Amino acid sequence: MLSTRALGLAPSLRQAAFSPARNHVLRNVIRSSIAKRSIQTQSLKPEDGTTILNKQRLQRPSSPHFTIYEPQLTWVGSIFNRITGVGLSVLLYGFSLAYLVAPGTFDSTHVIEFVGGLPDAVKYAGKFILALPFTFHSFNGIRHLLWDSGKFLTVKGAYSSGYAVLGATAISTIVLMFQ
Amino acid sequence: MSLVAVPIYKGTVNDPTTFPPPSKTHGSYHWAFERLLSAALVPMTVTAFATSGTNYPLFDGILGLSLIIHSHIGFDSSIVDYLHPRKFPVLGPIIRWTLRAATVGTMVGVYQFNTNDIGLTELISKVWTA
Repeated sequence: MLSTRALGLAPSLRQAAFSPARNHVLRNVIRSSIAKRSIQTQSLKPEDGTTILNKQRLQRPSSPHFTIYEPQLTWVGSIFNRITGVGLSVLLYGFSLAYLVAPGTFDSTHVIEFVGGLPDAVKYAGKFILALPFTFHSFNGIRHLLWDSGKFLTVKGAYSSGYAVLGATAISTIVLMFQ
Repeated sequence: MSLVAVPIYKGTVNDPTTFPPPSKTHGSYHWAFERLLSAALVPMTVTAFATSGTNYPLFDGILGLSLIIHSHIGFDSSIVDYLHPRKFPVLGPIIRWTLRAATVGTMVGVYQFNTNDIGLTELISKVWTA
């Protein structure tokens, strides 16, 4: 009795017992009981939970979705501060290591002679490429130091200091280009 | 061990996250040192613009050393952010040690250049007007 209830056979058996069309009902009983029996359960150990979780974690997208943020003056300067800083530092490391390896090739006389022989357009372009990251990193670095000391830590402060950095960078870059 | 580690749990979900031991050297002192060095670079750079490196080799040397330390900290922060050993167990340490070697090499190179040649400040000003 317990097994027929557990398998959900009680209504079918009752119907089979009182129905005139016994053959048809009997077929249904057999079919439904086979279907019920085919359900399988799987035993899991407690540590399998972690395995399943780890499999799910591999499917997850990486966070943060950097590209969903609108570029704003509040934060764009920060990443450009890093990019310009790394660029200038690569130049410092590159030249110093080059001089260390080949002091005869990268001595000041050769470097100045090489740069002096370049066309004016290349010289101006080169000065622009060097002056822009240097001035931006310098002024934006001061902006970061002001933030670190608790100044301009409002949306308005972030914008006004951002515009000040952009203005100072533009002016000093142009001035340095024509030095 | 693969080159890129996958972001999966170590241990079970009930294990607490591990933290590095608290250290002022890696915390507040490091933070303050970075800021003081960055701030000090402003007057150093102005001085370098105003004077000649050849006449004041000490200024030139201090500026060169400060720029290298400032650069090293910047490179190191980038490695911590983008090539953390948690995700790059092989590549991260390789790049970190490459940076350390490059920094030592750069220090020797700048010292050689400042000692045997005209020095960084003088070089920049001469190249700029070449």
